Amino acid sequence: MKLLTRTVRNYVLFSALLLLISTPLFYFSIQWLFVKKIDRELRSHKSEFHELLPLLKTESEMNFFGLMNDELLLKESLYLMQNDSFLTADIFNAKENVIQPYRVLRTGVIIQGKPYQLQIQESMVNTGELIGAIVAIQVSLIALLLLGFVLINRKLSNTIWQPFYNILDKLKQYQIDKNNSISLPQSSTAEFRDLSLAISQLVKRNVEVFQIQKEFTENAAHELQTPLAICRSKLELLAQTKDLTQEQADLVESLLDAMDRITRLNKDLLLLSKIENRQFLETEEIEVKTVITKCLEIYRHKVQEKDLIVKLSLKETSPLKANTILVEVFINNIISNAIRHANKGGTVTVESTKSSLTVSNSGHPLERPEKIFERFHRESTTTVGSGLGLSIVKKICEVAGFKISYDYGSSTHHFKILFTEAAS
Amino acid sequence: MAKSMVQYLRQESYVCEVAYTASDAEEKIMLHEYDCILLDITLPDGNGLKILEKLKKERKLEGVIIISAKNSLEDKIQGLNLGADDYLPKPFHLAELGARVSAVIRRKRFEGNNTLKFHEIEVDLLGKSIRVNEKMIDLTRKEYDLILFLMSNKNRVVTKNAIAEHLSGDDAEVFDNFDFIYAHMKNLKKKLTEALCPDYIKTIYGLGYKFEA
Repeated sequence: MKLLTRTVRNYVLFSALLLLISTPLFYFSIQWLFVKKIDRELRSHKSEFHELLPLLKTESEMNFFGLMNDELLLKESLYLMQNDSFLTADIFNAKENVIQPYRVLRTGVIIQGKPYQLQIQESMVNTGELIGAIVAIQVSLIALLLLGFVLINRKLSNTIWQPFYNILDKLKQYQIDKNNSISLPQSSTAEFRDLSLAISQLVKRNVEVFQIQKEFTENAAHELQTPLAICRSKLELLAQTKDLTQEQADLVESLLDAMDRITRLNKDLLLLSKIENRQFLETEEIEVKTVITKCLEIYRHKVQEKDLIVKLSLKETSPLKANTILVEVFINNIISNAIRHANKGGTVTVESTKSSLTVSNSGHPLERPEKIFERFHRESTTTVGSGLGLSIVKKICEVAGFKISYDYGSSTHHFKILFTEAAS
Repeated sequence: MAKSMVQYLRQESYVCEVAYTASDAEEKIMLHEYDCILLDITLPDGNGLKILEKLKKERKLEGVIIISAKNSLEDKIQGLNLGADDYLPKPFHLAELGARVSAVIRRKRFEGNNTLKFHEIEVDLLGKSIRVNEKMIDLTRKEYDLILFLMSNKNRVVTKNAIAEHLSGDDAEVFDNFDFIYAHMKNLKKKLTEALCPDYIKTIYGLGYKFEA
């Protein structure tokens, strides 16, 4: 749920509840106030009547009075009512010929020694209409208020939160290995300014750390080269020694083998960090087909040795615009990987079309296919690759804008590379 | 590093002199004439490429092999454009260095008319073919590379690792087994023996091979 909907929903719920409760409450309280007011008026009528009472001497005067004030009604009664009683009743209005709600005050009076019941009545029609009108206005006002509130809140929230969404968009697009700095939109809101600042600083620190790490790998690999070269040459000199015994020769041999592996590993690490540092930028038009053919020629021996069947299907390709070294390393690595890991007597398939390259090799399924492109991840301990070959492939794809995917089906590993993105 | 290189090359009875600084090197270049100069790009007092520029300005005919730990394409292209004969990135096998040095010297000395002779073996470097007792032997490209590599490092043990790297080329991912060398070596020896050539190639335990009379 979006933040906006969440806040608005709470507001709306509260307002609706308020409206629901307040409307009857409001209606009844207004009515109660009106009734009180009418009652007060009735009482004042009563006291007015008491003031007039001494003036009414005769029956005819009384009747005349009754005719003049049709809200007053005098009835002879058998006993004298001690208390005033108020009630609301529907009474027939002869003048307008309708039954209307009245507020009625009944009280007892003594006129000329006889007990009378005095009934003062006040029509509540006007009052009822007034209450209705007031409540209606009030309710529509509240409803309008609510609506406006929701609308304004929504609009305001949209504009207020806009910087936040902008920042979020920027963050989503940000990739530490691609962009160096992040440019966040400026906002006049203090909180968002703080957020921008905090994120910028975080990114800056991370970029620094990332840079240091990258440089470290490259520097370390670079610094290792000279001592490695010295080690190797000294070993080779040692191999030249006259009267080398079998035992010594074996030692030198295994040392040289280890040396070779370190050297290769180092070379791969250096290459990987150079690719990461974007040191291969110039692009040329490359014929993928040629590179593949050249590469397969290099490994012809290995293919023969493992009795592999190489199925080649190279369609006429349009030249690829990319860095020559990268493409060569890339194709070399992916094909040598397939040859290395194909089972003996298996099949290696290389298919290229206009915009894609598929390299497949038969073999057993991987235990952890999701880790296939990770550095130093090896499925088996028997192979002796540097463990960097496919990481380099992946890195080159990232740099060159290719898309690589791996899947396994019918006991064959497939690597599919889409070149299309490079064209755009 | 320089010491090992000198020591290795001296076994082939090359005369070697070492200069550890750029100024040192410049002085030696002005005073003497060499067959081949191995030039490290990163010198304590300057860039090796400067020396190369100077050499070419003076129209000196020395063969120059650039040695660099940088292994960067720019250095390689720049060096070769300036007139270097070869480029060898560190780390390298000493046998590889031996082969490159001998190739450069051969080119300089014979000025293109390239044959390499060793007793009854005659290598035609341009035609990439080998004659034994005036008789042509049919060798594959790899077998030719192999024997030339060994002959360029006469009397020295050439390790399997160096051979593997030399035969596979720079780009190839070297598989950690040397079966293909054994196969090539077996075929090469067979062909040489069939041509009545004495077996000059000695196996040094599991370590490698040595070409000696």
